[in-house]
Amino acid sequence: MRNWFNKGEHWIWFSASAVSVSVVLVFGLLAMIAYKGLLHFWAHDVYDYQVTLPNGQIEQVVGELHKTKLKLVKDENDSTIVHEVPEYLIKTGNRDIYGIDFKWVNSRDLNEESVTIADNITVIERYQWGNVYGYFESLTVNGETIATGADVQSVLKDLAEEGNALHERIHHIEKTVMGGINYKIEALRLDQKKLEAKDAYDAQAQSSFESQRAVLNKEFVELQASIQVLHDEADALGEVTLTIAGNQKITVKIKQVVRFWQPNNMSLISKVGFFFGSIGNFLTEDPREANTEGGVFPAIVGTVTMVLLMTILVTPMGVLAAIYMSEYAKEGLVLRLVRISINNLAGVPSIVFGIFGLGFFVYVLGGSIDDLFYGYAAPNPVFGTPGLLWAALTMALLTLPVVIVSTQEGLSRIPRSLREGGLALGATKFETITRIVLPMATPAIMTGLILAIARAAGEVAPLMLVGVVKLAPALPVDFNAPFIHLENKFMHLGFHIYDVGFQSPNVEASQPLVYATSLLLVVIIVSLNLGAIMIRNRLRERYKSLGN
Amino acid sequence: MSELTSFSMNSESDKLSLENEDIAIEVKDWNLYYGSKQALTGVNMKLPRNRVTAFIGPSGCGKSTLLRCFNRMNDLIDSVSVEGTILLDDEDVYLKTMDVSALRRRVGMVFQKPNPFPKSIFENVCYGLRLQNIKNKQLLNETVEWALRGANLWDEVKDRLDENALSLSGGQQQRLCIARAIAIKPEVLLLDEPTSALDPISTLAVEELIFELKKEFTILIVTHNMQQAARVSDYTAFMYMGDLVEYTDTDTLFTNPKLKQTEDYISGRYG
Repeated sequence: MRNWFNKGEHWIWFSASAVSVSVVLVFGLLAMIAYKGLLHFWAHDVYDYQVTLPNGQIEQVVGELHKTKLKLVKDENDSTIVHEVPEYLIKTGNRDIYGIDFKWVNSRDLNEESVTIADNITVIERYQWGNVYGYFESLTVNGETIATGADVQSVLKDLAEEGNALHERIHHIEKTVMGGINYKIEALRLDQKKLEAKDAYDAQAQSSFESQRAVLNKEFVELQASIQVLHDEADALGEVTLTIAGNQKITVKIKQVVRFWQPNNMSLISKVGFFFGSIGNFLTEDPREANTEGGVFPAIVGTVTMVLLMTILVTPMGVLAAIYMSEYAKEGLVLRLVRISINNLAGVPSIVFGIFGLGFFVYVLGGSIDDLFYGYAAPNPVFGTPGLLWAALTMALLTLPVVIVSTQEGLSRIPRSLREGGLALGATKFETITRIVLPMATPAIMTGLILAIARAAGEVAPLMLVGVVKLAPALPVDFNAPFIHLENKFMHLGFHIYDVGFQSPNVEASQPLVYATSLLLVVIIVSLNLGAIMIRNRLRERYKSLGN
Repeated sequence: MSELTSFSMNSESDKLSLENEDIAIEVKDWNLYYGSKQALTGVNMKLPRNRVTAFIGPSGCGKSTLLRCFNRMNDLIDSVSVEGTILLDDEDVYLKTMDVSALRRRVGMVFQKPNPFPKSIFENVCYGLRLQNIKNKQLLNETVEWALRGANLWDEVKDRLDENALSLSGGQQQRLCIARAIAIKPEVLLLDEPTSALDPISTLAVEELIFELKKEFTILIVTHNMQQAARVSDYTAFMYMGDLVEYTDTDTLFTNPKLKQTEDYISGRYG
């Protein structure tokens, strides 16, 4: 045993256990997020519960078991005994009828044997008001009943598809086409203000503007009319009536149906199909109902755009700074101070960067840009308000130390002999750096970028100050020239998690979404990093055996 | 002591007959300091064109430092200061107005450790040409072939010019570095212990190459290996503690050294 300690075996064991704790933590975290997040997309069975109310009546509750909690209840006769009574949170849906989606059921009020799988129950996901849980009763089109009972399903399937197609078209016209026209009208308005500011807004310009505006307005009105037609068409698809728990009826317009499924009748294979379909919807759809339903597509676009823009901004800044510091600057007190400052910059809390971004980038820089170039748009700010560019710049500043430090390390690792080889052939110092040293340092630069991406994609606090919003009206990248709108506000997955999880009116319903979004954020960061790591490995391959 | 030896060396060099030789480089009263530490003391010598001149001496004697003066590689070290004159074809190398890049194109250098760039074999050889913005494909191809043939490497690599130079063996890499240096057609070629990192067979290949190359270039070689100096060089300079102790034709230096110090060194008594 003494020998064991003398050899330092216990330290090895300590280190090994520290490693295993870290690994377990990382994988445990990922597993928990993945499990809770992915569970959200599964087609859960729907149960039928018979609940005895205090007055002896029996109430029917139909829904998915959302979660179980043990409630401590004192025994009625002996207050020293405490019973653990399970309570179930049932997702009952039908928010427009019941007022809320969830219902707590105490297991004491429940006749356990009466809990049955609700055969043939249908779950309808709606564009508004959440899910409906009920049994098909009838489907009417123009007041005429077309199908009843089980027949409704096949009819509804076709009609719902039509409804979705119409919804898609309306959405496309509203977002893309009309959004584009709005964009042009706004551009026109700004052009006019620009001319007015220059006192060049004469009769000729006026008539030209008027005619252009008239064309756009006409287009706009026409589009509105066509949307109205589509809406009417969607209305004419009819409506479906379902019986819901408590012998009530609910009528759902078919144009409100996102999709519907009968979880209790589904085979495992169709449930798996449903699972992947749900994930697809989550990734590609816009959020609905104050972000508590639907997808996160705009947040994905916002996150990725911001990170890429940040990368584009931070790379030249960091690399140039590192080159100057390690190749040109003279060793001395100043350089040491700069080094210390850069290293300490990495330790500044991110919210401080957010404040700086708001105070300097948004108000000072953005304000000056507005004064200089967008004075005609006053009092509306263009760049003098939080937006994508400022968020990316703030993030670039936040991640700058990482890039500088790893680039410097990379530069210092290039053997002296290679620099001399270049110089001996008549290259200037600059040529040696650009042609030999810098290409060979690219793997190290990529390492810096990987760390920068990992940090920037996960950061939320500073973004809340410099550009992220709960719900952005338009994507930061679209088909309207110049295609990337640096002044736009954008959505971000990290902020989305915070918003959905803690700012939402419907916490229970949005909780699985928080996990799903967290999982997605992790996946996105990991894939951005993997992309960068793959590039780095290729570069490493090219410049390997560097130190032979 | 250094005063003494440098004095004695001067008297020796007067006896060195370079009358039949065309002088490429002339070193006059050359002193070099690393900060306050003197590394070269009053070196005076004339280096003949199209000959191989070897520099021998124990480690730290200043032979590499002297070699690096000819293409001003010592400029890279901030603490270095120099006194005296080095004339390359009667042109002062250390003149303030000297274009150092142009000088280094005239005075090529091969280092102790093979240092090919992590690029293809072809790109390594034509690197110096690309620096001069030569874009003519034909000219590049011809020069690369000429340089690789000159470095006795062409037959080994002609089918894989696009391969990474780092995939070559050590000896091949060193010959590639020589090819790279001669591709820009310098007047002088500085070889700083070019074979010390190579195996005997590669060393032999490089030595044969040096023999060939002296037809076109003035070659200055620093070596630790006295047999090598005896084999490849026409003239040999023995240096000790920053002094040029003895400088004469190789045969004389190795068979009949004038100074005891030289004799002690070449007979392996110290160094």
